[in-house]
Amino acid sequence: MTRLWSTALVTTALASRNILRNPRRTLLTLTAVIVGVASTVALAALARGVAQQLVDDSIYNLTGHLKIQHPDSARDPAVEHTIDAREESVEALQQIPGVHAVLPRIVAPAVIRSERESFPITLFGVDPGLEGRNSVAGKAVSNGENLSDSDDSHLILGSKIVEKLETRIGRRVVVMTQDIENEIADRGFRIEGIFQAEVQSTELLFSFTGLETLRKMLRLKDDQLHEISILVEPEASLPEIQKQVQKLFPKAAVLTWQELQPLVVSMTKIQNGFLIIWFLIVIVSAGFGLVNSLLMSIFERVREIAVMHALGMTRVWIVIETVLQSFLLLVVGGLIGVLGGMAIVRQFSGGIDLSKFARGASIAGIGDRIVPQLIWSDVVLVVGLLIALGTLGSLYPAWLAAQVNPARSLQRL
Amino acid sequence: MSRSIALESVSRLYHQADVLVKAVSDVSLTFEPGEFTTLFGPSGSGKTTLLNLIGGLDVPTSGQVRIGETVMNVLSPSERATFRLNHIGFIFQSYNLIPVLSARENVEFVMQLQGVHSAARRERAMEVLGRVGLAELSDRRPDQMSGGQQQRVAVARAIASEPDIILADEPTANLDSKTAADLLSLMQELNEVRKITFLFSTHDKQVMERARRLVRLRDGKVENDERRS
Repeated sequence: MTRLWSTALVTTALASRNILRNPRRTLLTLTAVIVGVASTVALAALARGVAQQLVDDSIYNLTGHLKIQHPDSARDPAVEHTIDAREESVEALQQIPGVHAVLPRIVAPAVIRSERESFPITLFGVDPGLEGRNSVAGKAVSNGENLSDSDDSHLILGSKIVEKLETRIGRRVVVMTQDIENEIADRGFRIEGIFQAEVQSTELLFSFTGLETLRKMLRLKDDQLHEISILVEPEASLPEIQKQVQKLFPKAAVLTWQELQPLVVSMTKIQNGFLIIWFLIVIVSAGFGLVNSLLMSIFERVREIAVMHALGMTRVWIVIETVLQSFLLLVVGGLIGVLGGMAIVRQFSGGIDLSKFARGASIAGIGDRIVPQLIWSDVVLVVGLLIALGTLGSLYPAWLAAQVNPARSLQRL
Repeated sequence: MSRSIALESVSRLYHQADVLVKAVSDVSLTFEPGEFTTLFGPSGSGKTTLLNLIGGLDVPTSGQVRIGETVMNVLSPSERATFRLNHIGFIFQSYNLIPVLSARENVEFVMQLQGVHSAARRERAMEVLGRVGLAELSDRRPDQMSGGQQQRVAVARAIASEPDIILADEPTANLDSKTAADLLSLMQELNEVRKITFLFSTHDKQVMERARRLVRLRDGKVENDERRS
C-alpha cells in the first residue's frame, strides 16, 4: 500500500467522522443544502414545464414543427401568396422518415360579423380528418359539433369570439374577406361548434371551416394552398427533414417553428438565463452556510489540526481533509435534495392548476395547467454547480486550517 | 538510524502586544543519539519553546537547529511535517489524541501517514497498546477513557513508529505516580533497547531522577547542563 493511498484513507476517515461529530450542525448544513437543491430542482422543472408548454402551444396552435408557405407570407399574409401544392408533392411529404403529420391549410384574414358586432379574425380552411389531435383546428369542440370533412361549410369559433359577437351555436354569421382576384368575398356560415383553447387569444383570432369550402370562397385552384404544417417525430430530426421538404418545395419558404415563433424562442432563452441566475443564487446561499459551518468546525478543531500537523500530516492533506468534509456534505445533501426535488415534481405530475390566475397566465401565453418537466441536464447542472462552487468555497476554511501554527495552537489551549 | 540534535546559538523572540519576549535566547546545545534528557526550569523558562524548535513546530528567530544532517529551519512547513513524520514522535502534556479516532486508530495514525501496510500497522498498534496496558480498550474513543489512559495511548502513538527522537512535553503532569512510573519505565526501556533519543520538558521529580542528563533553563537560557553516569 503506498503512502499516498494510506494517507488518503485516513484523511477520508477523518473527514467523514468529523462530519458526524456535531450532528446538529451537520443536520442544519445538510438541511440548507437539501432545501436549496430540492427547491431549485422543483422550480427548474416548473420553469421547464412553462417553457415546454409555450413551445407545445406554439406548435399546436397551427405552427407545427415546420411550415411550408409563400416566401412573402410572413411579411404580407395576402390571399394571393399561395404555394404550389400538387397532390404528388403532398404525398411525397408523408413519405419522409420522421414526418408524423402533414396538414394542408388555406388561410384568409377576414372580418366576422354577427347581428351585433364585428371582429377581425383569421379563417382557416382545414381538413378535420388530418388535423385530428395534431392541432387546435382538430381539437374536439367543447360545445356543438366538429367539422365533418373538407367540404363542411359550417364554422367553428372560439368561445371568446362567440362571447364578443354575442352569438351562439346554430346562429349565422357573415365572414368577409378578399378572394384571389382581389374581389370582396363574403358568405354566411352557420356556427356548428365552439372550441376552447389554452390561450384566450387563440379563441379570439382563429376560426375554422372546411378546406374546400374556403378554397371555393377564395376561388383558389385545386393545387393552391397557403400553408402546409408538418409535425415531426422525434424533433431532433427536424433539420434533416427541413432540407428534404425544401427540395420538394424549392420555391416555397420552409420554416421551423423557431423561425416562425422568435418570441417563444427568446422567452425560453430568457427563462434559461433566469434559471441559471436562480441556480447560482441558491447555490451561493447554501455555499455560504456550508463555509460558515466549516469555519466553525475549524475554529473548534484548531488544537486537533495542530496535533495532526505536529504528527506529520502535511498542509496539503489538512486542506484535502477540510475540502473533503465539504465535498461529502455536498454530495449527500445534493443527492437527497435531488430526490426531494423529484418527489415534489412527482407530486405535481398531473399539472399545477393555474385557473385562478388563468387570465394573467393567458396573457403571458401560458395555459391554465402547467405540468412540471424534470430535465436531467438541469439536475446535473444544479448538483454540479453546487459541488463545484461549494468545494471551491470550502478552500477558504481549508486554507485557514492549513495555516494553523502547531506551536502556538498547542500552547494556547 | 539515530540522529544527533544540535542547537547553534538559537534564539526565539515573540512580540506580545508591544513587548518583545525572549522565549529562548542564544542557546547552544547538542544531544547525542540515544540520550535520555530532561529540560527543566520554572514556567516561562523556554522548555516547551525549545522542544517546539527541535521538533520543527516552530522556527528560531536566529541560529540553527540541526537534526542529523538536516537543518530544520531551512525546511518548508510541509518538509518539516514530513521530517517529523519520519523521525520525531511527540507526547503532549494534555494527550492531544484525535477525538474521532479510537485508541488503536490514534496509535496507527502516524504509521498510516507513513504508509505502513494495514495488517502490520494493526499488529504493531495492538502490540504497543498491550505494552501500555490498554489492549482491551483499543476500540474506545478518547472521550471514553480516563486522563491516564489517554496519556498511555499518546505514549503508544509516539513509540509505535519507533522514531529516532521522542519529544515529551510534561508527559506525566496529569498522571498518578504509579502510571507515570510505568510509562517512564517503558520509555527508559525503549531508550536503552532501541536507542531512541528522549527529550523531556518537565517539573516532575520522577522524570528528573531517571534522566541521564539534566538541562536547567531560566529566562530562555541554559543555566546548568548536568550529565549523570
